[in-house]
Amino acid sequence: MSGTAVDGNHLFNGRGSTDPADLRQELRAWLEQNCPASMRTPMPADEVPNGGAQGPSPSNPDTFTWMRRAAERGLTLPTAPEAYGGAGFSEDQAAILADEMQRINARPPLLGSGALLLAPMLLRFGSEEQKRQHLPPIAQGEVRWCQGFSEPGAGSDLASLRMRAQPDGDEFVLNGQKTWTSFATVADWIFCLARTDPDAAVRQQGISLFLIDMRTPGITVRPIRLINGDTEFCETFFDDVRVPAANILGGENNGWTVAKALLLEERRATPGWTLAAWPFPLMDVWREQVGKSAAVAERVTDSELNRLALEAALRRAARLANAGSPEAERFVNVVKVWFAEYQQERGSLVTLLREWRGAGWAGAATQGDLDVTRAWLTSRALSIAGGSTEIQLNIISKHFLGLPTS
Amino acid sequence: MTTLPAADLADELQALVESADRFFADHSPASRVRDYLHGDQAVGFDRALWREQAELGWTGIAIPEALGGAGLGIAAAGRLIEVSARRLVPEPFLSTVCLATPVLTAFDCERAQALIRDVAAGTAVIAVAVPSSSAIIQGTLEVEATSSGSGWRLGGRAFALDVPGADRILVPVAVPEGCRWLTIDAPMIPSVAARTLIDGRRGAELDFDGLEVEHEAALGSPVSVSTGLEPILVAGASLVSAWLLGLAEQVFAVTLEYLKAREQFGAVIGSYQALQHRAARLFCELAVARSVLEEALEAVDRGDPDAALLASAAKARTGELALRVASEGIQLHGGVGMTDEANVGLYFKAARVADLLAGHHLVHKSRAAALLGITVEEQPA
Repeated sequence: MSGTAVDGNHLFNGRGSTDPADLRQELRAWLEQNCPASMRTPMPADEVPNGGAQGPSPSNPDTFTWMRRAAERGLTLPTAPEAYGGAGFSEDQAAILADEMQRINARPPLLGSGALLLAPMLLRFGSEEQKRQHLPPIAQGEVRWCQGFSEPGAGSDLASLRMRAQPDGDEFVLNGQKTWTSFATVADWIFCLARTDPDAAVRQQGISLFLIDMRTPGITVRPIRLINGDTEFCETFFDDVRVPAANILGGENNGWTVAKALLLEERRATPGWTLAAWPFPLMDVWREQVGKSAAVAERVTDSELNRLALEAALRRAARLANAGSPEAERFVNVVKVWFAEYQQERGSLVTLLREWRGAGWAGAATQGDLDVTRAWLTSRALSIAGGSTEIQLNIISKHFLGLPTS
Repeated sequence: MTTLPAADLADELQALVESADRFFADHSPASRVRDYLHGDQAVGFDRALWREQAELGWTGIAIPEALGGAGLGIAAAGRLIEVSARRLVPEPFLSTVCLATPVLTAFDCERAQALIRDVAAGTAVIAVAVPSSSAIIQGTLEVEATSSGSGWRLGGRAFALDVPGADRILVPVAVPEGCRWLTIDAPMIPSVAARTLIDGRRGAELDFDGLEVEHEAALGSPVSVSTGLEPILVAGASLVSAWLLGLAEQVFAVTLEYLKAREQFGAVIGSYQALQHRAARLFCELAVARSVLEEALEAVDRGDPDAALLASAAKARTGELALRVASEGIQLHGGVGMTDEANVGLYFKAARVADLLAGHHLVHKSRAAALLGITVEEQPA
């Protein structure tokens, strides 16, 4: 392939150039031309580009246009090689892309567990065949993935999971139950931890990560209703589900290693793209207050100072990660703990100050009010999902402070 | 300013910080603080050590090269200040480097420049009579000047750290046009209530009543009170925040060592989750505070319009956090933490003294609120 960019070609001229300014210029021009105006506004919850064929359609058709255009240039998985639907960018080049997208407030063209979590693991642990099978459909937004990690008896203590995978010829037969499988009703595939060696000396060593087509016979999904009214989380039951042995990612009995890397990726990916997605307009609410009390002013000030601090911390996290600093990893846990508590406090304060407008569930209420209230209710999950705050504190004390296990 | 490439500057700074750390480790054990705390020395620091530190280029780290300094800027000074805070170095970095230097570099008059050269050379210790936190909130100064003959007649009292010991005093005084910064030879000002502070430093109330000074004592031209105090409340507060964070990180490290060594109920107490989580939460807060501090110092160096907000955000956070980390440090040490022999108490007391400098953390929270537009109306009676 030549280095010339033409329509329909993945290549960006500047990618091969020694001067990063070339790539920046080219990306800037491309984004200006291809990112629809409505994709440069804050993203409402019903326009999240999760991909897949079965999901509720994002209500704004520009969502698909943007996803398709970005995918044509490999920009939905910028650091994946072109052969797998990516743009073949280095980390530095991806940082330039992120920069230029931020410059015009462009929404991410594609989100969801496939692009954010599984794709990096496929690139790192996948066989050539797995990469070729799974990465392009993820990059195109054609296939939506869900995550099958937690079980009713294995939440924070994930390594105690009991779902069994028994070998039978060149297949495994899976039996058990997964919970908190978000969007399982609309997902096309699931990545799922199951126990392949129940006799392993260390329980973490007997686990494998399976890639499973949700249409496989024996899989049943039941939605769970949450306090915010959402039904995206599900229970997923496996009853003699037969999966080819070739669908294990990262090797048999090596699933814990992959899962740990994936959970780290989740902690890293979550705050970045959700910061804009939390609609807590505290300063607007403060200005609307008829009477302004010192006690309220102090809470508003604390929240604003925490916002400043969190933004500084997110920028520092990005700087450390770009510099490949060993401090970057521990910062991920810090940011996760802080992000959750900041959003919970801010959501609680905004809905309190909105009084009855902040307590509406349904009926005569504006969509904007309802969104804010639901987001506040949802914020309680931020300190539970993706490794609870208590688990983050355990990780910090054991791995970064060197405090011994009792 | 120096024109070295960024990477060379970073290496130079790293080398400087490392050599300072070694120097303080060799020459300034925490026991020095205890000596000054319990001793009756008139001055709370060592003049010979200060000159040595100046020769190594540390007192002039933020001073432009043209005036005899290293020209590395405020962010670099912050790194050095952090390192000195870790050892609670008694030499007058807080008064002369954190407070006096930003005030002096705000003026480009000859008088200010002569003093800056003296600071870089280590031949002058300069104390600053900063208004009290409550005066800062009110926007008033504690010392005022009225014209008298060829100069001014002063009135009022103000507190200054490192007196006795300082050679010169910088004081902002109220004049009809607003605010003037005066520089006065320390021996000219009677001090009352000279005291040893809880952290072993010396400080005194300065009595300006009836003091006559020449017009030449003034730096630059008159400015508003808020402009006059800006070097203290922005660059000064950022540097004091660097001291507070360095201190807080060190007392956290000391506490962590204790958690790994102390045994109760047959195990080291650091193996108990209740204590682990307390430590981990402090770790999170220190990491976030560092992010704010770095942005504040860099904003000051760039002359960013957000520098005032970031500086107050940094001081509001580190002033509160340093004392809280030290308080937790005492609690996690148990009875040992209350003893004079344990270092954790020295950090606790130093945290309070540093918070009082350049406006305490609540003053800066109020300033931040005002800068963010969060103001409360008069309450109905």
